[in-house]
Amino acid sequence: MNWLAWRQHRKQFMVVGISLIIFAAVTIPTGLSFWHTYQHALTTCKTTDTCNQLSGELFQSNIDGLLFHFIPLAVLLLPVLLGLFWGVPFLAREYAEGTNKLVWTQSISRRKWLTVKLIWVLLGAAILTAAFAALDTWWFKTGNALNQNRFGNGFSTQGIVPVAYSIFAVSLGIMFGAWFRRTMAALGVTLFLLIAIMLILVPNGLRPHYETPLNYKMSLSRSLGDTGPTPFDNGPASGAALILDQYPVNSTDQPLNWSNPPSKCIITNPGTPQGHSEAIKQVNGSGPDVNIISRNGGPAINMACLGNLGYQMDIKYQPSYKYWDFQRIETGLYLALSVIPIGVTYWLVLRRDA
Amino acid sequence: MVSLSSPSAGSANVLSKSPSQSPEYLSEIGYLAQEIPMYSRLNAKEHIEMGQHLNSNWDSELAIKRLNELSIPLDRPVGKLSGGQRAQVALGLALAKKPKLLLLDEPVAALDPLARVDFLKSLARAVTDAEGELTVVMSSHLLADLERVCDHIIILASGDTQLCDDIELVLKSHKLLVGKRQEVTSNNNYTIIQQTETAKETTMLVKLRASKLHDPRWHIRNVDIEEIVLAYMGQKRDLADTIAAKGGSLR
Repeated sequence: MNWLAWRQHRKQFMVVGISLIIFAAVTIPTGLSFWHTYQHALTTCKTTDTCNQLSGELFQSNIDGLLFHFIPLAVLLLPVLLGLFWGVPFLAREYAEGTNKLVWTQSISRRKWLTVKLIWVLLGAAILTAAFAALDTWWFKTGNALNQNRFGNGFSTQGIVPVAYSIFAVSLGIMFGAWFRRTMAALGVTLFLLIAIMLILVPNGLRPHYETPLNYKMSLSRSLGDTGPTPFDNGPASGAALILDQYPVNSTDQPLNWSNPPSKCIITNPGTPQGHSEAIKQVNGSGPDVNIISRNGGPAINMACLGNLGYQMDIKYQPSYKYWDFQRIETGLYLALSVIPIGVTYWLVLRRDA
Repeated sequence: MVSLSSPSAGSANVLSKSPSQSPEYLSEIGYLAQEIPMYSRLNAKEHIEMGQHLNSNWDSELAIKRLNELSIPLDRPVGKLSGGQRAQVALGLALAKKPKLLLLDEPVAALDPLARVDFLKSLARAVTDAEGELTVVMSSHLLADLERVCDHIIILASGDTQLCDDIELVLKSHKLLVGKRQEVTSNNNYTIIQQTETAKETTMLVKLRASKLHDPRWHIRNVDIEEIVLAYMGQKRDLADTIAAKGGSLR
């Protein structure tokens, strides 16, 4: 059976294998060069104390921008492509061409036939994805060091989660291919579900809540985007955390009512010079600019004024030290999810008429 | 019978076993599906190698020898072979398994007449070579082919067995009677399978109960298997129509 599995799938292994070689040929030299540039810049910026400006200075060329965009994108899309082009035809083509009838009437049980084929294709997908993800994780260490955000897009393309994504995507494609027996219909449904689950539902709906978030109260006179020391200064910098929510609360933890804020802090005509100077006056003329926020159609509010009234920004976040916890949880989640399509596939193959 | 579908009702006993997906059962049965499915990008040699890996009792040499004798290119993807050649490769694969029972589902339906004759020739030779160890069950709508190669015939219509007998006996026992128009019913001498009447004549296809019929009212003619099968199928259809007209149903 191994002979047939290899003979049937060797071409697709080779296509992805060659893509991996091309990927390595791009990432290894550029990765080395980026890291070298970064290290060099790090030693020189220390003398002038401008290291916190590096992320805005390095790798600004078009080519660099494209690489930082498309290298992670390739790893993000790989599981989807494997699900569509490895998973869906895996059984759909056998059904469509009737070859399942040929192979199921040889002296081998369907269970063994399916098991051996699944092992080959799932293991192949896992190993190749692991290689892509490892290269990307290594390649992106410059980017991780610079913008210090591992919970953004980097989360889905680095570490161990891409391997679980691939196993899930391929299993899902296999199930729908067996279910519909037609490639096109199965492609459509698989693509829709993969996008919904992997790109929308899990990263936005589930990931922020894998563990109970931490709280931090921050002075209203500054924002998360500011450079310099930040609220999360115990090691990781601000961008490293996954921010779930931030909301101004008063000294008794009551959240700010956006449509009815303390009247003292409302700026009546924020866009005009008059309104602007009024705003500055409200914070005793300190600083050249004022942090003005308006939400839910409410009035414009002077945030520094709120700060003077005892308001603070209440931030719910997942700290960066939970990165590997979250990687493990999400990997486990996808592997557990994969059990469903694999189980259904066995049922379809063993119990349903050819 | 090859466990590709589960029965909606009833059971079967094949080679003293009941059909299952187990390798022990499948190893004794050769099967060729109607659409002659094969991996179109694999060549004949690779299909034979596949069989070697998937069957415990496999004769690669026999398969290669047979295909060589038919001058079928072994190293061309089977998707690029002609229909007749593909059917021969598929038959070779089914036979390489050295089955005790070979099930052929409309194997020649899609073939041109020449390829059909060649296929049946190969089949007949395989049966001879197997020296009584091989039974072939073949379904077909091409009745003349059946007459040429089969020993035994089963006519199925509307899910029921209409006739099950040796072809020679069937041919001997079924006659066409032609005579002056008259009222007749089945009797001790024969059963009427199909009856047609014109203004002057009554023609009927009958199954004789005795070996000979002497009845001066009738001209007795021989019939071929096609006429017999059509008569049985027509009879079933008439019956179904009658029942349907009475508001019943016939499965």
